[in-house]
Amino acid sequence: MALARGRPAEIDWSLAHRRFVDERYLLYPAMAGVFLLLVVFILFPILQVIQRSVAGPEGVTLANYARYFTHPRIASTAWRSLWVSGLSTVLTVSLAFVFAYALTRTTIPGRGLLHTLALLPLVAPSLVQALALIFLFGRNGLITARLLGADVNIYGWHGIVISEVFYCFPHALIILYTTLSAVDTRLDEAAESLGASGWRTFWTVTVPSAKYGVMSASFLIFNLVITDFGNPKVIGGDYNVLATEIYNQVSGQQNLAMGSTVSVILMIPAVLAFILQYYFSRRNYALISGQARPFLRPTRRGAARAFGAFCWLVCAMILLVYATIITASFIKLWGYDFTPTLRHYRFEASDGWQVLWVSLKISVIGGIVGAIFSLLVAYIVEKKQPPGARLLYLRAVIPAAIPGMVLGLAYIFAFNRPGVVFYGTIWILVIANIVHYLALGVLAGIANMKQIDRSLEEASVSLGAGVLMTFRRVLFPLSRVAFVSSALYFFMTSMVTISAVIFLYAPDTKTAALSVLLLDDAGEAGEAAAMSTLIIAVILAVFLLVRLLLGRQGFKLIRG
Amino acid sequence: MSKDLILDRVSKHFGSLWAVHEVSLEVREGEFVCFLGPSGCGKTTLLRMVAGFETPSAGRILHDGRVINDLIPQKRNFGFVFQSYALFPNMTVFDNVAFGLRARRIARARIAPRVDELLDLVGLRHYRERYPAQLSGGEQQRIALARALATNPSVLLLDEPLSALDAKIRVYLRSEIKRLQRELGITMIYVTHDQEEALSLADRIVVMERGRVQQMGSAAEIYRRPRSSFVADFVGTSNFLDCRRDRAEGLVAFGDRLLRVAQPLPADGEQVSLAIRPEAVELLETPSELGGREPRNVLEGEVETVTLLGAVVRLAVLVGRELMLVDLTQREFDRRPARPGDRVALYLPPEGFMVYPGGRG
Repeated sequence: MALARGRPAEIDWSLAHRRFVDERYLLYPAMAGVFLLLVVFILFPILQVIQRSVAGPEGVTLANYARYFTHPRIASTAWRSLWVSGLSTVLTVSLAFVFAYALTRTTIPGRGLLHTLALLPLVAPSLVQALALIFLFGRNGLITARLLGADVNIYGWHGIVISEVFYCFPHALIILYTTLSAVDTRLDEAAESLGASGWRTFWTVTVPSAKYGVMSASFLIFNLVITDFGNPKVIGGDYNVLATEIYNQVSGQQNLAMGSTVSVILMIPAVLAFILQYYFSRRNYALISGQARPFLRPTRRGAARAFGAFCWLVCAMILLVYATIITASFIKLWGYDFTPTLRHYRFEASDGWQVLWVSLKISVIGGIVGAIFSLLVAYIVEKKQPPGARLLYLRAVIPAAIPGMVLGLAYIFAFNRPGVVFYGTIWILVIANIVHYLALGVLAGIANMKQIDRSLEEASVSLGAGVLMTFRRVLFPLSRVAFVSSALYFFMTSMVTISAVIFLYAPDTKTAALSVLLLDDAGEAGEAAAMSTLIIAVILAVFLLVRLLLGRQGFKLIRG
Repeated sequence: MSKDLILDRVSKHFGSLWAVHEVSLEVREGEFVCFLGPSGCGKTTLLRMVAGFETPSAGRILHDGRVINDLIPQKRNFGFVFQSYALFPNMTVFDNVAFGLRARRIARARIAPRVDELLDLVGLRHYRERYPAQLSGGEQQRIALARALATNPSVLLLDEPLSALDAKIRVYLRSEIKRLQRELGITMIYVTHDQEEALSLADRIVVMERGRVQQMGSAAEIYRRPRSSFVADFVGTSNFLDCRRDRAEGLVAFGDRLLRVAQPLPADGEQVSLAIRPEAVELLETPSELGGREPRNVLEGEVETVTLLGAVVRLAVLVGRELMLVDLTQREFDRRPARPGDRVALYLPPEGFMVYPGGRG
């Protein structure tokens, strides 16, 4: 054979004289850097909040907590928060479970479309639901005042609960859809073949096998609702919950100590719910990994009709919310003058287009930086596993438990001081968003890294590639799909978030989602609707653009 | 200076677990060595230390006269072939094979001819533009071989390369690997748990158990003279008889009878373990048909099962409470057929025994 050894002679096959970057020289500084960032931007600020809540003129005191619980109006916020969150959780998870069941276990037509429509609320800020409810059922509501002539007061806890159900529905649906599509339907068939009725099978087999998914979804929704600010602010009226009370104390009364106290009280159920959600989601994924989806038998006609009617009703309500917002943005004055107009898009009450531009900047930077950072953390934690990786992982995941309001307040304490150059710029908003949503990015990154077999990296280095070439040519291309979806996730959350940035914006760094809140507060409902419409349009446009640009390559990667 | 690879009392522990314990070995340039052993015996860990994926906890690894314990894998230029193929799924076959060449910053014009040369070598040039997922497992492993050989490695390390493949392709690729090794004269270290693979491929086999080398030698040596009962059991098939030492020279007690053994017994210990290969056991026409054989070594039993193993017929014969395996060639079997339930007489030649101290395991 012509493959003479050592030919061509001048090639340095052995790479004996090449200088390689020692992996440790990259890994340890990178890890130290990540650690430092997480300490500076998570640990330090949160400790500041706790410290402020117990600081008194003579050292540590619990006086603030005593004042909280003895002041009847403020003390009630904790119970109100628990009531609203508990009720919203039960309603959302029940509705989402039936919806997910219909999508995964029945053969009703149009399941793909239903699924897409049901996920729509993800692309809107958390106050759009409340805004739409007011348009429909408020004092000048289309349905209540105009059609029924009734005098219904939507403001209060029931308004909050309805808005939160709309807001949280897709989050619950994602978890339950994954759970129910993975749980083995052969168990159901086995139960039925043993003579159990459909109803009995549902309660004795289907529901128990999805229990971790249901628990996981429940605690996620509880955490989402109790930490939400947008909906209760808009539709709560004088029904104050913990998140809005923090805002009242900090922005309204400049009482930072009481703001910190309420923050700590809010953190307790929020962190607890997060830990439980995390625990159950791990058990859930341990249960559902890698099972085949067998063939579905056609659903009986009566059941199909009932499920179909339910699903289309839910989607119709979701569409109604969006249609209301969009319509309201194009008419003169909701409730009084329904003449079409583009007036609201001139944003006379606010510098709307500038605000949108700021939001876009923050979200694009946040998307890219967030995706890079979470990929880096996932790479270190999952692939390199240096000593301390576990701690790094915890640091990266914990902020998901911290309510956005608390994070924002913490950043005031930590960074509103001379010398902190990024305070008051868009960078503080970018950082707050990335930190707030880091956990999901990191978890998705780790899931991706787990799929890349260790031998690929070893093959690369044994062929003579250095750390950088291995990352650039092998690991990154194999992470591209995960990277893009992670970037889109950070982009989307940065576009719609309110709670994490409400304390941090400066006049020239106001974001679009914040602007919706402020416009609504100022009574400019039309412009608020116009801005909401723009946010939704921008997110959908970016999704479409990414799909067009990367879609084909992304799919090739998955297939190949 | 020849480019021998020397392992000098190499050990590796993970926490308190000793995966590899003081392994010493010299691999000569151009030699084909197999590490053979059950899973968890440390053979893969040893190979990964040679590749540079793991660092030895103690001992030295030398190549070309230099200690390479801490040399990064990139600078060793040892090819590595994985059980999982480990082809880069995001690259075409061409780009996979060219990967090592690009890492060496070889001029673009010289890459294509070299890649084609390697693809010809494994007979898959027409797959240049395909992606790994479009190939079968056997084809993927051939591409992985081409990729590992492209950078002209001085040693090729293979970690159970055929374990994930179907039996037929396994045998075919085995001969391909042997052909490549002969043609290129490259040193190969091949890890496997499949004794048939090791026996048919290797110049030298290193049998490992629980992190230690049990025996080293050619296939014939390992098979004919296993140095321990573990090797006798793991490589090939053996019948074991637990015996006691007898006062008389050259005799051991098996149950209530005495057997003659040609080999010298171990120096001490009351218990003696005899092993005999199934093909060394003879099937007699009648117990009286001795013809100069040692009368003590005839055992009677009842045929339990008859299994056709291709060229060989294997009988399982119940002798007392022990099941003895007897391999006959087709011709022998035709001459003296046996059916389950038949009473038969077995002859265990004194020189057919392998002798080990103590009871087994």
